[in-house]
Amino acid sequence: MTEEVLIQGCLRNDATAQQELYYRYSPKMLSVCYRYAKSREDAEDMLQEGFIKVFTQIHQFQNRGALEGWIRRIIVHTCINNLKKNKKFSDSVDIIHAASVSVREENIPSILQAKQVVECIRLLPLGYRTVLNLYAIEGYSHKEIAEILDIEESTSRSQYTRAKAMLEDILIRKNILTKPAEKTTWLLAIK
Amino acid sequence: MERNDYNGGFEHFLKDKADQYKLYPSDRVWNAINDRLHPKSKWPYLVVAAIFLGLGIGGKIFDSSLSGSTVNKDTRALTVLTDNSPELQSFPDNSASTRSLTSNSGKNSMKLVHSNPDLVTNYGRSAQNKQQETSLKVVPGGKLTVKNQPVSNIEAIAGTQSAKSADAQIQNGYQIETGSLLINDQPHDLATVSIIQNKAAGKPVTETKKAPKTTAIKVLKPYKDKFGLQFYMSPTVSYRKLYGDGIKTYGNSLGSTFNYSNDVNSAVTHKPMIGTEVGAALVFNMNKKLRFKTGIQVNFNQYESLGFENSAELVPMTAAGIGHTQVNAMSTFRSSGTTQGTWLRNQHIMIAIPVGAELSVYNSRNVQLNIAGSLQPTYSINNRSYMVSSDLKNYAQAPSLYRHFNMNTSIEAFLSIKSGSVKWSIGPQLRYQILSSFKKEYPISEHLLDYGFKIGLTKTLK
Repeated sequence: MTEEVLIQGCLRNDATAQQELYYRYSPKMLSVCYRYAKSREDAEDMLQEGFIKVFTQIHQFQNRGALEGWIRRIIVHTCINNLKKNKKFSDSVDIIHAASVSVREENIPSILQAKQVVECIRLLPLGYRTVLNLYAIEGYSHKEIAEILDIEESTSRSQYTRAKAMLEDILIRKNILTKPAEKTTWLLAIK
Repeated sequence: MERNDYNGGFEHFLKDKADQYKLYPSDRVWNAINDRLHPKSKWPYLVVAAIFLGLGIGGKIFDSSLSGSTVNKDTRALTVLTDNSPELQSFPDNSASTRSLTSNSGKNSMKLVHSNPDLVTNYGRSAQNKQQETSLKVVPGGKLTVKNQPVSNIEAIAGTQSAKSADAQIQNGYQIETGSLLINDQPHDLATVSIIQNKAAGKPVTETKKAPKTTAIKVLKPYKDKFGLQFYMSPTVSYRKLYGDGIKTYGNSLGSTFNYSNDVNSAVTHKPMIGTEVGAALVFNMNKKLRFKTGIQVNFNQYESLGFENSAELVPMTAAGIGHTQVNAMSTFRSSGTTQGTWLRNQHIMIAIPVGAELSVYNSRNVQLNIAGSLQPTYSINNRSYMVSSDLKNYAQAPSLYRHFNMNTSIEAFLSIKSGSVKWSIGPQLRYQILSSFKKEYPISEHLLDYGFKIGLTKTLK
C-alpha cells in the first residue's frame, strides 16, 4: 500500500489503513518515545497518545513533507507535553556513571550498538536527555527547544553542553567511543 | 530548522544510532488506539443488560404473583377435594348450593360466599372428623363465580378432575391462588379456625359455624408451571475447523514468496484447550414434551497454535480485492520452523442469546430424556487470535479482521432428574460456529467447534 493510499484511507477513518500506517511507523516512533520516557510502559502510553493525534489530525498533513517526519514531530511533541504534565523536568540532576561494559564497537553488530547508545542516552538525567534528544537527534535549534520547553535559550545551550559531556563520558566508559586524548577520530562508528 | 552551532560528528553519530533502533510495541497499544478511533457500539451491552434485567424482573414478578398471594403457611395446608374424594360423598347435594367468588382487597384475594348452611356444617364436620389436622378442608362444588363470571377451573376441579389433592392439581398444570372464605357471609380465618379446632377438639361442629373468621381458599388457574428459570454451565473442549487455501501475494511490496504448502490444515498445528459455557435461560413449557427457551450465555473458548519465534516482519493477511486493500500485520512467529516451538494461545469470549427448543423423548415421573437444539447469535467481547498469514508462513494478530457478530448452533442430549421443585440436567452437547471467526477478506475460514458436558438446574417459577 503506498503512502498516498494509506493517507487517503486514514482520511476516510478506515481501520485497515490506520492499522497499516501504525504498523509501518510504530517501531521507529516507539524508540523515539523510549528515549524520552522513564520506562517502556510510559513510552507505549506516549506512543498511543501520539498515534491517536496522528489519526485525528491527519487532515492537517499537507503532503508538503515526508509523512514520517510529520508523524515524528507529533510524537515528539506528545512526549514533551507528557513530560511537562508530569513535571518530570524538575527531577534533580544526578551524576550518573555508566557501568563498565567491555565491548568494542567493531565486535558487535550495529543494531546492538544502536540499542546501547539509546540506553546510554536514557542514563542521562531527564532534563539533559530531553534537550539532547531534541537538539542532537530531532534537529531542533536551541531557540525552538527554548520555546518547546519554556526555558531560556541559554539554558538549553548549557544543558546540552553538559548533556553531551556526560554522554561522551558514558559512551567512553562503555567503550563505544574512544577517548579524544587518544587522537583517534571522534567516533569509531562512522566509517 | 536552523542548526547554527554544533554540526559535528557526535550529533550525526547519535542520530544515526538512534534512528537505527526500533522497538515493537505490544498489542495493547494498537488495541487501545483502535478502540479510541472506532468505539464499539454500546447497544449489544445494553441489550444484554436489558435481557438480564428482563429475566430478573420477569422471574420476580412470576415469583411474587404466584407465591406472594399466599396469606400464610396455613393456606398452603388447604386441600381441595374433588367429586371423587371420599369426603365429598358424605356431603349433601351441592347442586342446591349457591356459591360465588367476589373480589376482595387484593387482586390475588378472592372471597368464596356460600349460602348453604349445611355445607358449613359439613365443613365443620369434616374438620371434626379430622381433628388431628390443623387445616380446614374446603370442598368445592356446584356453581362458583368470580364477579358473576363462571370459574371454569373450580368447576373443573369439582366436576372433572380426579386428583385427590391440591398437590395433585399442581402436577396437572394448574396454578393455585389464595382467597378468603366467607361462610354464611361471615369471614373465617383459616389460622383462627384451626386454633378453634384445636382448642375445641371434640366440641360440636357448630362452634366453627358461629365463629366469625376469615379463611383462605385456593383457586386454580391454568398457567401454573408454564415458566421455569434455568441455570447451566458446561466445561468444553475447543477445536477449530479451517477452510480455504493460502494465497500467493504476487507483486506484494513485502516481497513475500509462496514457497510453503497452500493447504492451511497442513500448515498449522492446533492443540485444543478447556473452555466453558455459562448461561441462564427462561424456559416456557409448551406442553409436557416440548419446551422453548431463551436467555443469555457467555462462551469462553481457547486453543493453542504452534508458532516458531522469528524476527519481526510485516506479513500479508489478505490480498487486495474489490472494495478492500491488502491488510498486513507485524509478525514475530512463523508457522513452521526447526527450533523449539512456542504454543500461542487463542482466546475468544462471546456473549450469546440462545433461542432454542427442548423435546422430551422419554418421560417418566422423575426422569426425562431430552434432546435440544438452539441458534445463538453471538457478539465477541474479547478476541485474541493468532491468525495464520495469507501465505501461511507466519502467525500474526490482525484485530481489524476479527468478526464481532457471529452465529452459533448447538445440539445436545440430556437426562433430567426431578428433585423437589428443581430439575437437574446433565448431558453432552456440541456447539458449532456457523460463520468464520474472521471477516470475509481473510482468505481462511475458521469455525470453532466445542464439545461439552452440560450441567443444568431448572427451577419452576411459582
